[in-house]
Amino acid sequence: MKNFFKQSWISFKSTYGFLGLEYFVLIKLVNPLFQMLFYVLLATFSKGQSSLAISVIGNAMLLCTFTCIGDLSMIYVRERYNGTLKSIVASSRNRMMLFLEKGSIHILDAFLTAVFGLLIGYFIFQIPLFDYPIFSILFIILVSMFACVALGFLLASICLVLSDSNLIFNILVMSMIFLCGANIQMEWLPKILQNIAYCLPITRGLEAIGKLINGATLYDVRFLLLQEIGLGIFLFLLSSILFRVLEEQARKKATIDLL
Amino acid sequence: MRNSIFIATMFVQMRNSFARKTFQFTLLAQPILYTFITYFMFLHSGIDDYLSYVVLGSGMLSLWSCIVFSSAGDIDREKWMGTLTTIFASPASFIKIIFAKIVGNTILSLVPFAISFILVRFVFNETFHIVNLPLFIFVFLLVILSFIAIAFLFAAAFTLSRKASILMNCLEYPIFILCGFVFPLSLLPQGIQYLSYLLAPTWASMLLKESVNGISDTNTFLSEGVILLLITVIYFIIGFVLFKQMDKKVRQDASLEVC
Repeated sequence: MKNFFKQSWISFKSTYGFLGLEYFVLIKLVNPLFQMLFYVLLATFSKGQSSLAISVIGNAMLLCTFTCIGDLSMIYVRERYNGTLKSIVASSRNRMMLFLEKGSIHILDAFLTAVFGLLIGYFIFQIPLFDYPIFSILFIILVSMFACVALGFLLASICLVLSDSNLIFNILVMSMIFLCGANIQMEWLPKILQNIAYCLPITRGLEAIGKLINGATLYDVRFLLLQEIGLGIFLFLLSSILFRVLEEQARKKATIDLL
Repeated sequence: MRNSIFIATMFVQMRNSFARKTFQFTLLAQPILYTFITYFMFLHSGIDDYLSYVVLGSGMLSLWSCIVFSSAGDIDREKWMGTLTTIFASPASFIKIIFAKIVGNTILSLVPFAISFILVRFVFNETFHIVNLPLFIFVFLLVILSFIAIAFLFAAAFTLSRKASILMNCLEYPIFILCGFVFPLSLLPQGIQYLSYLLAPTWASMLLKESVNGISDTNTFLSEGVILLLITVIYFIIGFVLFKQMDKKVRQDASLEVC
């Protein structure tokens, strides 16, 4: 267990360690702050104050996607860049375990980012956060993050055969900003886009939070949460299979370090 | 001969920029996603001239992203590739080469406006009507010039920064907010609005919207045009002075590649 946390901490340090404190703050606090301000102001202008709470909470959840999907998907890209990916592929360690070992601190970081987003909502947009069932909301954020982590693992697996994950990552994250319901009400979207939205993490979590804000209980939204967990499990399974297939392909073609 | 260097650099830069995945996202995918986001957000807003926010807003958002992720970061990329010293020591002036790169990038960065317009016209089947087309074209040219100026300023400022790529990532949303690309400045606190008025994109955005929707007060419109022109000239002067100082400093300290 000690080794698990040690590996996780090393992974975090290798990602952000080269930055000074001021740049770390810029990336971790200032940038998310402005991203959230932008989308919440845009939503306020186009929809009015009526959906401010769901906009704030939704955009706070979206902040964690950058870490959950972005940092996690880059795990193998960074290893390749540092020349250590072939050692990982050659090792007998379980891939999923290895991913969680390296990724767990990023998951914690993502959760703290989402909490930071909620605090921005409380202090800047003055949403009555503590009048809502805050612990239930935090629990739902964790559930949605589980699905996001699975998506991060999926993207990390795909990165075994991609030279640059930025394009696919950016499209994915902006699609989530567009479709998850934080900025645009689901019923305003065409049916086909609604179907795509429900294939992505956060959509169901945010729908559940919307219901909680309107007086529902966790029990009332249990099916939405189960579906979100189901989506996460499906994505994890898909990622594991894909990782094996792509790893095998990269071994055969000897392209692990070449992309 | 002198012009051929400028034109050749411009086209090489356009090809190099387009080869990068991040730039492909910013240039092609981002305007599509921003157009979708803003269209569905504004569709039920009750705002009369919402299409100007969709087409011009999405175009300006993507144009700014292109500027940030291309012109502002090009020197940093040259530094990483080890080609900055070659450019610096070439017989053609360094400022001229950088300026040609910026012009090339900015021309390429106009593509998002076309993408946004095509989507609105042919996917959403809406008519984007420009009240005064010659005036719009004139204002558009002025806007291009102002964005070239701001890119020139950033390129100069980032030459001496070791963390240009990090700063680039943090420059998108603050400008989206401050310059009112997709919502009016009146949403911002009064003190922040003064800061907005120092930025050329703020005036560029206002002028573009007025030239599309019709001018309500000719004197105000002319004043805004003069202010944009003045700010553009100031940016060019500051950029030029910074480049001259940087030139002197890197020669004295031998720090072009290490700063």
